[in-house]
Amino acid sequence: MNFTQTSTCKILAEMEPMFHRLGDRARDLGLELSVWNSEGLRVGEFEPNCEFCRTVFEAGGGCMDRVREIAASVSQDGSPVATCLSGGCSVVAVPIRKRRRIVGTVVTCWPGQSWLDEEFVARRCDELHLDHQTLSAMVRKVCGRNQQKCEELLPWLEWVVENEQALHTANNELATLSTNLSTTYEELSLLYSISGSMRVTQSPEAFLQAVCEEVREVMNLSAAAAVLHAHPPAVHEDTVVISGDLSLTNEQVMLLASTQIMPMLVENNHVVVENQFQWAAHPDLGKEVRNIVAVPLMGENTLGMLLAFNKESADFNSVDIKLMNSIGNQSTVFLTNNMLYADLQDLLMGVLHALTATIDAKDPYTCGHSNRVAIISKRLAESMGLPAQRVQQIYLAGLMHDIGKIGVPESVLCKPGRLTNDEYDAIKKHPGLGAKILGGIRQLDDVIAGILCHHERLDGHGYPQGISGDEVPLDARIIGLADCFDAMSSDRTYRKALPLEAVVSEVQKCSGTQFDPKVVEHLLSWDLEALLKELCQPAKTVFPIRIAQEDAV
Amino acid sequence: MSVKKILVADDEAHILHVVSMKLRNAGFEIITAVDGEEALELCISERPDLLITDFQMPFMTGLELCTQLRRQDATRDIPAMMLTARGFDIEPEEMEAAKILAVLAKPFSPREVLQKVNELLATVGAEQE
Repeated sequence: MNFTQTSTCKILAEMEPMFHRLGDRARDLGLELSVWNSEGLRVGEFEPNCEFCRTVFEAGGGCMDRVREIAASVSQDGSPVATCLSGGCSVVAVPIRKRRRIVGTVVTCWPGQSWLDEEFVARRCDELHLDHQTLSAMVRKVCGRNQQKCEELLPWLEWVVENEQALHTANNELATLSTNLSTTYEELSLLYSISGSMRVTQSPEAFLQAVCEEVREVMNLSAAAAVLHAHPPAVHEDTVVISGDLSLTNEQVMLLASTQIMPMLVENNHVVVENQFQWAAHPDLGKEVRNIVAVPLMGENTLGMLLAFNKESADFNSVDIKLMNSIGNQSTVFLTNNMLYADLQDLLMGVLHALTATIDAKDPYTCGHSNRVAIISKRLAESMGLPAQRVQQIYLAGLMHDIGKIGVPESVLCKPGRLTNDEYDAIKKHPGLGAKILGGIRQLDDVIAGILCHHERLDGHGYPQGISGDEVPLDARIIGLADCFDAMSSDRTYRKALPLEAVVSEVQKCSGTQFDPKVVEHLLSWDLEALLKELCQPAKTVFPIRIAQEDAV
Repeated sequence: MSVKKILVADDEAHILHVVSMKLRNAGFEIITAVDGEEALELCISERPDLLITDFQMPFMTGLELCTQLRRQDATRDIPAMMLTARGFDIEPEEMEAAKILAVLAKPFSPREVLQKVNELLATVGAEQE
């Protein structure tokens, strides 16, 4: 088997630096050097180094035709040649090999011993129409090697060519090794960075987006995408994230994933590799997708999939697949944890809502009060620019602010008329009772203060402790206002709801004594009519706060 | 027990270096080839105890190489193991026909290769006794 001409040319072209080094060494020794490919064609221009050679060459006395024949024969049978030509030129030719195959010939030549013979010089000068004296002078400078020298040069040239080739190969290997090492480092660092960035409070979309960006860069893809199935399906929708340039829209990626890839994933032992991708059902949509790797995000159920599109300048190989599998597995761990976290969070919220619903159930007139206070408190906290974590804390405190009423007799709670002092004292116990009920739950520690102090006033006339000013926690000031606002604007057992103007003027009147003026300012800056209307609507989702997400505003 | 001779064939220098070094350090005699044809010649002339070959190589793929080995008496019984970046392209029937005993997909850990080599040599040794 032989290299084709184009492939030998390419191989020789890659060896160019080596020929330059050889040429330099030859020149130092007063030798001319030329390179021939396996077809017997000269590679590059032949430019004689020494003046003598150049003169003879330009006068047409060069021996290129003979050298070509010699190069061709060396390329053919691989045996080196050392000979003197009739034109006076001495030639040494050795083969160049790549992967043990001859890809060309290196030829060195120089003016041979014949040129020392005056008669020979005179004859050649006549043939070439050159000046005898000038040429003789040039010859004396460069000439003098005989056939024996020629044969001595042969092993030297073979040795140099061999060494240069070894150097060339070593350089190439080093380059390949470095490239591979750098790729390996990138892959490793990708895995490190993904496992390092798995914070359970991150949203799955943000996590997968970051994963796709990294995957695209490290694997040299035009695009990477992730499809995430809804969890739980009834409440949420499937999502798609894409990084990079992809001719498909999110919906098209979803279609591709569900109709084409998923059945293959199921059939294909959990990974799909398509180096000649075709989308049978939608050839026009799929035409810009050359190749694809897909791995499932597989927990107990299929959570979704990761997709790699169009690896640049190569097919996907097992290295890519292992990497994708590993990233898929890591992502699955994250998603599973995230879902567990969300489930726990939902469970907690569900339990808390159920708990507060028991209070509201005791008094149908206050039905929904806890929930409304929670929502108003949350809005106030948000509007005051508090961080997400704190907003959630205030929401929870708002939700459970009346939980202590479970310890207040129903006869007192639902009494339509005026309360006696004893009855009022019983009512005043509910913030303390609430704090006590929830006091055993470590995770709700931050919520307690808001519950315990929601009936305290800035002027110190509140209960149960009668603290004043800055001693009243901000959470409690927010919830206290939300509580009174909702109490005044809804019907109660002992009175109808006050008109909005009356509520507003009451709030304004008590600003600074009962309420924190800063919080009042935020409340009164809203469209309160719209707020009341909205609060009457049944809640769209059961839990307006799901998880304190970092990337949530 | 004499030192086992292993031929490693791969056109990628880094794989060749990594695998050879690991196995040489483990006490094996290692010979190397950079293409399928050279590997075939060395299998005939050197009769290694085990062949570890890449799938995609110039002149002759690892699969062709193994198929060729099975055609000659001298090389028929040389156990073969394949290291490949295209594991998904080889059909089980092809592997069976070329008597490839194991396939490791790149990237593999050198320890994994050594372990597999020891396993294969132990199995083959046991069968021959």
